[in-house]
Amino acid sequence: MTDRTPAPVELSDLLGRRLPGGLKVADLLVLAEGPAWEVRAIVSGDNVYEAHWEHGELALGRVVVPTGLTSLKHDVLDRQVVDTDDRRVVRVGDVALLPVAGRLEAVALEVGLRPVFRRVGLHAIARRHREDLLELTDVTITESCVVAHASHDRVAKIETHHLARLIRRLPHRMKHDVLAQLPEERSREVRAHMLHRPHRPHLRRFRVPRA
Amino acid sequence: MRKRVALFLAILGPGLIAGLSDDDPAGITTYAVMGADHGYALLWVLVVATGMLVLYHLLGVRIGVATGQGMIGLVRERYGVRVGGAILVCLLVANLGTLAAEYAGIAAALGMVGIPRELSVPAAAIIITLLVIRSSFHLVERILLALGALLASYILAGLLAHPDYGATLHGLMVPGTSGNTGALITAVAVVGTTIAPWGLSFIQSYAVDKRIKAEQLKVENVDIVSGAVLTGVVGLFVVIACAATLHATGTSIENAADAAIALEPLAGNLAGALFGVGLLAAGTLAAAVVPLSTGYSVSEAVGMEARIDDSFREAPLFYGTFVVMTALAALIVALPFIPLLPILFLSQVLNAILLVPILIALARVGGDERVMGSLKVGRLQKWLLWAGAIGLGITSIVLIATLLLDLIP
Repeated sequence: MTDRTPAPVELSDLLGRRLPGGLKVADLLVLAEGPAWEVRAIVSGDNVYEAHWEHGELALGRVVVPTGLTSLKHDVLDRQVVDTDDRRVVRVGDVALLPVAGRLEAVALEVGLRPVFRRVGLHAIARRHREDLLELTDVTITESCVVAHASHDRVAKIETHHLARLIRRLPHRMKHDVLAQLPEERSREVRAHMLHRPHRPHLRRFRVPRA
Repeated sequence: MRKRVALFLAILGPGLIAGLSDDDPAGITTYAVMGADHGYALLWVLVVATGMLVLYHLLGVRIGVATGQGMIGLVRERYGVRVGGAILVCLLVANLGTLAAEYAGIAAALGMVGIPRELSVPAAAIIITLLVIRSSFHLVERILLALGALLASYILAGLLAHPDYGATLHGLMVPGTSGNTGALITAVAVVGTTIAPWGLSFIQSYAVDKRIKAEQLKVENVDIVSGAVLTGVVGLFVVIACAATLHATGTSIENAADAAIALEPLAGNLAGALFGVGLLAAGTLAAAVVPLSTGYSVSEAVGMEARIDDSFREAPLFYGTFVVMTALAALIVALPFIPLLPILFLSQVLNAILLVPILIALARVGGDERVMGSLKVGRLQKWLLWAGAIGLGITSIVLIATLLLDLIP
């Protein structure tokens, strides 16, 4: 474990970024399962490469043939989020990614005005807006949109939230120690929650009642 | 049969409202100038413009039904937030100018009965805003449809002017010009005023707002074609009213209010009054629809989609946009020291510039099976859409060049 909590990165920052060797990141492909979607491949030029995260940067692996992966650029970014009644709720403004043990994982969908202003270069205005995040367990990617639904494991979620809030208050080193002691899956969930700002009352507006 | 009529009445709206709001004061002025300056000779241009309106409004609703998204939302999804944002900024300026023109039309119509613009414009702005914000979707829609029905006054005014029906038929069926060098500019202006970015954006968003389903599309198409054809019919009667009276006497006009005043001695007081009523209705209808269209566009661009049925609290951005646009446009018209003409000029140029990429994007999306699924347009419609986009592209370039040449002293 490093000394610092890995800094989250946004998808919009990575798209178009030049990689070692001069190739540009055209798209990231993820395995859209669970609370954090692992970035498995990078689309660059005409090829798809295995994705790695090395020294704080994306790195290309060998050329692969992607199967069963979801495109963050085409299937997620800027897509409409609808609720279970097919009502338009919000739009995906960006995807928050977190480096975890040499891999990059999508941990939340950023919605609202903040990512819109940031992406058009109005950073000062973007900072004035709150960060609205949608958890990946609360959404399903379909062909035409992102469907937001209520969590089926609300109790477990609340515990994770509490845990994330508690760990956030700990000193740096202790924070890492606690995270290291957690099972990998749980640690990943808590890290994802720690990306969120405290309280997150705004997230409630994106939660929909269970059918 | 009764079930079909009920279904038609339930989904009636987007086509009629979007179509008839294209007959706004700027449109009426263009038609009136066309009739006064060129008589019946350019009526065929109205047929072409109406055909294009049918084509693109059918496509707008089809895309809305297939994707569940308004135009700007779809642009953002397909081309990214920067392109969406750039188009939105242009739309905001263009729509503001257009809205100011609508309020100028209202001011001119009420000015005919002696109400000063300092009073008429703020009053109209407040009434329209309260109506849209505080009423339900259905009430707003019914009032807008009733305002559209008032445009029938132009048909009566046209009939009262005793037009030459033989020349009308000839003008409609045989493409020709009056031999005047201004004919091309007028023809371009008629097409440009009939198909506007805000109208295309509105009809798609409104169809989504109304939750029209694919299985209702056939019935909705009747609404769209009716709306577009009625728009053309209203334009036709404005042209023939002015052709039969003003052109016959060699009278030139600057705007629609001039036409109403000039019509009175030639076609009777009733014809002039009906022309004025039509102008008021046209201005009011468009003054409600243009900021609604802008509200939809802003909400879609930032990802906070809203519906007319939402309350102000549920959709602050949507209604906030409506209020701000209305207030700014009303201020521009009501305050004498704000220069109206440069704003109208800029809005016309921006509308013409925006139209080309929007039409190309619509034609591309309409033919894309991955986006449209089973609602993808057929081969013939696809060709017509591309032909229309190219034709309107050339038209827009001519319009922009004309407007810019006007700037040179």
